[in-house]
Amino acid sequence: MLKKIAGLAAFFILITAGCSKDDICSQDTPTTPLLIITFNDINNPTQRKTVPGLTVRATINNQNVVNASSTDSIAIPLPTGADITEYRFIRSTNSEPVSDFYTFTYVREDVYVNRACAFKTTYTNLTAAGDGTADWIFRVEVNNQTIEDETQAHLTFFH
Amino acid sequence: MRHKHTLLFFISLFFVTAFAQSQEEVATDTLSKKTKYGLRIGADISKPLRSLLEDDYTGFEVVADFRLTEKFYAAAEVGNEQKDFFEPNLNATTSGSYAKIGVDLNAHNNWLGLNNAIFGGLRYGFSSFKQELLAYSIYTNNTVFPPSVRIEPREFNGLTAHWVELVLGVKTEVLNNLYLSINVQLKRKLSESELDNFDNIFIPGFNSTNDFSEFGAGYGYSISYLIPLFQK
Repeated sequence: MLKKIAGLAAFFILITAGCSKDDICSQDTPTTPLLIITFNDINNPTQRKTVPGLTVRATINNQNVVNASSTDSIAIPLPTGADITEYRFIRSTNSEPVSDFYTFTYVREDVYVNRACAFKTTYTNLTAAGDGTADWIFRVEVNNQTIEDETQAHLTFFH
Repeated sequence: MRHKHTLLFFISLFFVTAFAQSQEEVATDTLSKKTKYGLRIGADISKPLRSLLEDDYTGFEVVADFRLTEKFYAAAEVGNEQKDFFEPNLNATTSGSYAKIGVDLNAHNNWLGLNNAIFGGLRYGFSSFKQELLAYSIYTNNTVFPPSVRIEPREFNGLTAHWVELVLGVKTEVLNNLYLSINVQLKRKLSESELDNFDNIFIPGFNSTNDFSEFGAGYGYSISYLIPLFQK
């Protein structure tokens, strides 16, 4: 009886000392949200319109976040360490590629998730400003100034 | 003369057996009926040991129990713990004191003269502690922008937590009045202080909290001395 209980105690200590579900940040856990942008038709503003050969490049380090894909919606990251960021949106049709620069500003806030994922950043007061050339993006509309999740579009570009 | 001797023999035989019998009765009485009652006081030796072996932990615990009836004991533990949580993306430290109070029920029928126990117990636990968030990083799936690490210490003072726990264990009298005891504890949180934009990573006495449930676990290995007060 005593031996059985001692064995049970040893087993219990082992399982409690081992690693738990808490140690790894699950991919399903919502962490820092991406900025969701949809592309609509300038002539028919309620209709989505696919951008041919869209490339999106972060100006700060020339890294592509979207690489030559034909799509009508994208999700791009915002920095967790700066209140302003600029992206270059490049459309490549058969002719010469055309590009527009857009600058996003926002207010960042760090929100605790759990011990495995630590914190995430959410963004409020989102604004988007073009470079004024309107080479292919003619108008921008902020649908949602607060970026807390990825359930709906935060921005719409009309082209 | 002859009759007299026969009679004497039988009379003395009767008295000898009667005397022997009465002696035997006295002997069984003292051995079987009386057991020791008193205050048993000691310390959890696993906690100082962990303090030596683990860099991120220091703690101690004083344990005591008092025998109430044949099977029931009033029991209490008081302790202090500090635990660091130094993971790559989160650095925090918790420190504070706790007290647990409850009863133990000995389910073991001892042989004559032995004072061991296989016991189950219930405790109410209370902790008063503070927690410091030292540094953290922002979790993100993107690799375009450099990762952010914030070193902005924040201190959360005056935190409390309450819980109940189930204890299972054994106690053995290794020397006269000196006991070794090992136990395991299953805890269920009742309430805890809510933190502004953070969480209680560790609660002294309760141990590590869990993001997904209110349960916790622990163990103890204590050495204690019985101060015998009376026999019953």
